Amino acid sequence: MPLRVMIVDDALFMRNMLKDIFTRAGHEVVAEAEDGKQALERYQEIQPELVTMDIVMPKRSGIEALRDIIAADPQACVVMVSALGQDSLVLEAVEAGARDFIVKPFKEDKVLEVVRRVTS
Amino acid sequence: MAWRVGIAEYRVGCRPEIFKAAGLGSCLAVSLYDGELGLGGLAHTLLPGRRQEGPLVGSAKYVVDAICLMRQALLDDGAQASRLVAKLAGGANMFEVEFLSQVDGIGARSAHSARAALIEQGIPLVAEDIGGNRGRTVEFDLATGQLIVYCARDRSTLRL
Amino acid sequence: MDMSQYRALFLSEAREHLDQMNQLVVALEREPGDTEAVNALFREAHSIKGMAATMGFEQTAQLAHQLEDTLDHCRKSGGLPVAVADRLLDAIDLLEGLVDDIAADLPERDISAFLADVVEPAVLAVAPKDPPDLPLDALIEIDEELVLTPVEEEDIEVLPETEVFQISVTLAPDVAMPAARGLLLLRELGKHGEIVSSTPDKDALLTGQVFEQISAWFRTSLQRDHVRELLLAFPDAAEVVFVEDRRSPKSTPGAEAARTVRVRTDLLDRFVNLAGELITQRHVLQSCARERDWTTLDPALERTERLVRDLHHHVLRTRLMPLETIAGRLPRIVRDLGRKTGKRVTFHLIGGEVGLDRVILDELADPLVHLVRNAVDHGIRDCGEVIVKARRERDLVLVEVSDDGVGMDPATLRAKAVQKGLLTQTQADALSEREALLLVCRPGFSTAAEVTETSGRGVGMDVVKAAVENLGGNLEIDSAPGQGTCFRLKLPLSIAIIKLVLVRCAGLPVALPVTRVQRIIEIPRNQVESQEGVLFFSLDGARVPVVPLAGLLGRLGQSADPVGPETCIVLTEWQGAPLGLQVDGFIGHRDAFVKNLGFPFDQMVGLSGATIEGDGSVLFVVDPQPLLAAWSTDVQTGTGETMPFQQLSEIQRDAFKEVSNIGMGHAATALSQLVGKRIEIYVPRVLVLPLAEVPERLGGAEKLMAGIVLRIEGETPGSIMLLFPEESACRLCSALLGEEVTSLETQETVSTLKEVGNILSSAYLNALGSLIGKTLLPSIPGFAYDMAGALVDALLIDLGRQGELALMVETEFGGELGQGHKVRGHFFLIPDPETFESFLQEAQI
Repeated sequence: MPLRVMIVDDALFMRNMLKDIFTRAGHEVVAEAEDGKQALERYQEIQPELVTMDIVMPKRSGIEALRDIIAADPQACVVMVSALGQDSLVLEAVEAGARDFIVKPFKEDKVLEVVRRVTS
Repeated sequence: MAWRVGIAEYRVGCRPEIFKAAGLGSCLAVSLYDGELGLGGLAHTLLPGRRQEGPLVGSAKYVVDAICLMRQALLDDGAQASRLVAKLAGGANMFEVEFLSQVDGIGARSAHSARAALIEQGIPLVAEDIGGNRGRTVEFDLATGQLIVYCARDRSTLRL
Repeated sequence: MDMSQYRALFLSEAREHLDQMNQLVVALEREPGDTEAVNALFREAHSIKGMAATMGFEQTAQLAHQLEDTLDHCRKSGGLPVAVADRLLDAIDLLEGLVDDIAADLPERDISAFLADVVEPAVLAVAPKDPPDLPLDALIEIDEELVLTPVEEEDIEVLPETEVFQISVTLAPDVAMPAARGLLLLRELGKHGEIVSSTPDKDALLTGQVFEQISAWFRTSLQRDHVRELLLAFPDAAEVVFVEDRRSPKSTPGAEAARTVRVRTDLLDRFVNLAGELITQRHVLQSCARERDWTTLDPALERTERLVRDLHHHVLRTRLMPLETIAGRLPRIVRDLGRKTGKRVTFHLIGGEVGLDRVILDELADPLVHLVRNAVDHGIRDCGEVIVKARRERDLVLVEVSDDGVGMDPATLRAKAVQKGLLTQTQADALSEREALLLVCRPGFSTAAEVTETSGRGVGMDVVKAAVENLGGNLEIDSAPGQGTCFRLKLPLSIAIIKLVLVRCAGLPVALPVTRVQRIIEIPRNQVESQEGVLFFSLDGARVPVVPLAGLLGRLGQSADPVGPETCIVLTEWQGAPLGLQVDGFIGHRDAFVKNLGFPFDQMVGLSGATIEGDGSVLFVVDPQPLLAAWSTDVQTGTGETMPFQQLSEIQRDAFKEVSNIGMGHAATALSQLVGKRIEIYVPRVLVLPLAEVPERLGGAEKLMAGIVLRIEGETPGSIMLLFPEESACRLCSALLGEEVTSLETQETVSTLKEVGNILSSAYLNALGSLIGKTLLPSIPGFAYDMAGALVDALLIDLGRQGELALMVETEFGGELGQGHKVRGHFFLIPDPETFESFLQEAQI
């Protein structure tokens, strides 16, 4: 079933990479945001079914944005995107309600596996 | 051929020599010059203020130390204190990110302490090119007393 | 009752019984009429049965029981037929396997096939008279029951309609962020039932605890298969096991844990006495101090010293175990091998009672088996004998494995080494007979015409030699064609306390193991002569080469001692010939407790450990053998690094290099995955240089570069800088953005390069952090495209405050992105000055 996805990342190529993965898998990327502040605004505006959220971002961090989104919509399905070694941040995010996480650099099948799981 | 002046180094000499401090980021270059004799010096300083403890060593790491050392060396070579003039260049802020907050503005702080030291020593500051987010290379031409500031990034040249 | 505390003891005793049985069966084969031996065998089997049954190891108990029956039959018929001997040995093997299972925490293996074989008429013509203690069918029933029975101690109520499982999930070995994964796993389980308890639990996971396996008691209304499916669908769950053992995992220590030593009671009594005397002595000392009675103090201290020495001596004795403990299985091995190869081989063990530290015994077991196998396989032609002989020689134990077989011919070995390309003809010719024999210990050297099933001569001899040397011992070989072969292992008695020779070298005290020192000679300095760049001196008319120890340690020219007319030579052995190590002076002897070094210092060639001196300073124990090996390689290839750094020792530099190599390996892998092309790293360089030199090392102060800079946050601050030449940066962005990039000024390229910096540094710091046990996080990256000098000077500010030098670890990396588009970059780690200290501390120096 195609999903409406929002990608939050400050790096364009990361957004593009994820976008390609989602598009190839038949999902629709309905919004992109490049910082944590934009993420909440776009989320409320568009109400995507899935959000991928970079952790380290300027303005509001991914974790702050995650808390904002969960506060606005407790059912929100947010998957964190993190680089290796940021274990404590990911743990914090999972505690805060992130559904799962993806570790950069990622492989396409891993991303889709996580998406399948959190949305099933 | 220009003489290289590396980080924490200074050099004094006489025309027609040319001194060069290459790739200044937050570092500050200070030139002192006695136009009458064509005698001058260039320092490539890293830190504002002076060395906190210990005697003045021959390092131009701290900007105030550099100015004192260079002034003394010039006077020893026969320069007249009243004829010395100074120019400053450098002190950029290369990375605009939070983590460098503790070093943020270090260039500006260096420039500030240089100005104060110059006033204290009674050396007039006649020109400066400070700050911004561009790296600089300076060449100090002892024949003319000109400080030529070259910006590799946008290939601009400024003559002070 | 919780039996797990007895498990270790069970294991060690069971193994002893099995060794004993092996020996008895082999002895019985030689003398089949020895009824006492049959009786002894019966008793051994009986002991194992009893122990295993008590512990609840049913399969083991059952097999031991059958063995007991068979032996009882033999006892009554008064003999041991050959077929029965073979079956007995098979059964002993199987028992060993079962004990291994128990040791490894596995369910006991299935032995029903072996048991079913029992009806073979030749083996058990007569049915056992006594009914078995444990009826077969009852046992099987119990086994099936185990499947769903939770541990009693856990005391978990089983509610109607629900079941309680103990589940153990093993994560994939390469799983990223296992703690977070574990947390999600628990959350997932929580959706389908109740987690009664878990190891590690949620709190432990939240602190980021590292684990490979998560176990939980889980109450659910779901079916077992359903739960399994659910978990296997979970990413990174490699294996899901429903624990069917009655022992809960947390109460069963790993196979390596809790090694036990049995101590004779008279020795324990001695400890009690000594401890009592020490207490008395303490009172005496206290009163001396109180009364300021210095006349009584000296004798009291003397007595205390004697008591402590005594105590120490006895404690060491508790660690000593006879060689027999590991040699017990050798007769059996020789017998089996003899039968397999059709050779008639007799085996003798002499001095089996000689005691060795149990750690040494553990490490020696495999090498010994290897040597004995080699002797039977290659040494003995048709018939002969293999002797293992041990004897104590002052602080050493000498273990010899000899055979009276065909022997080895040094000439053949030389030719072989040349043919294999291990040596040039000249090098081979230069070897002494003894050195030539040691060629069999070179990796990849095999003299056997064919590699046999059991051993290939040379295969593993390198391992044997390394094992012996790791224990602080050494290996010698005596052999001649037709004269048999003797492998001589010189081992320290105990490795806990080592006798050291202290010398002064380059102004530092350095310790050498006494096993490496033959003599210490003081000679007039001018007696050390030089010829063609080689130093030597004359000893008993022979020329002995001399190597300055300072040179081996990379500390030449740092002698802090005034140069006197005398020089001190430590005579050691190198490749079977004497060699002198020149040092500044001899300090003395010392008995010391030597500790192994932690990472990364354990990676350093020649550093075998360290000991703490009375004043708290650290004394390094240097093993000259590996240093000499490295030195001779350097001399041969001419790559010897002779330029020592004053500020950073060779060892510290290597440690940084090694750590950086690992970190950068991870970073390169991360980059490779991003660009889908292989990224290689070059050997890291540790640069210690004046601040002014730094920009030049970055490719020139004025060279335009794309620079990404990050701070390392956490307990060990520092900076990271990544530099790419403009062209490489553009190519990298092109590859990542999928469009031609020609300018580094756009927001896309800047954010892309920052992200590259983030991923590379995260991978690098993750690896580095786990090596030194610290959390290292990169900050948000900063980017600038400018002159290299301008990019880097802000990073030197902290260093500049502390001193005139910068320490940087540089790693160059690069690869091809296709169509001949090469990418190159430099990765710099610039630790803050205090981080450098903390790094060395973390590495336990």
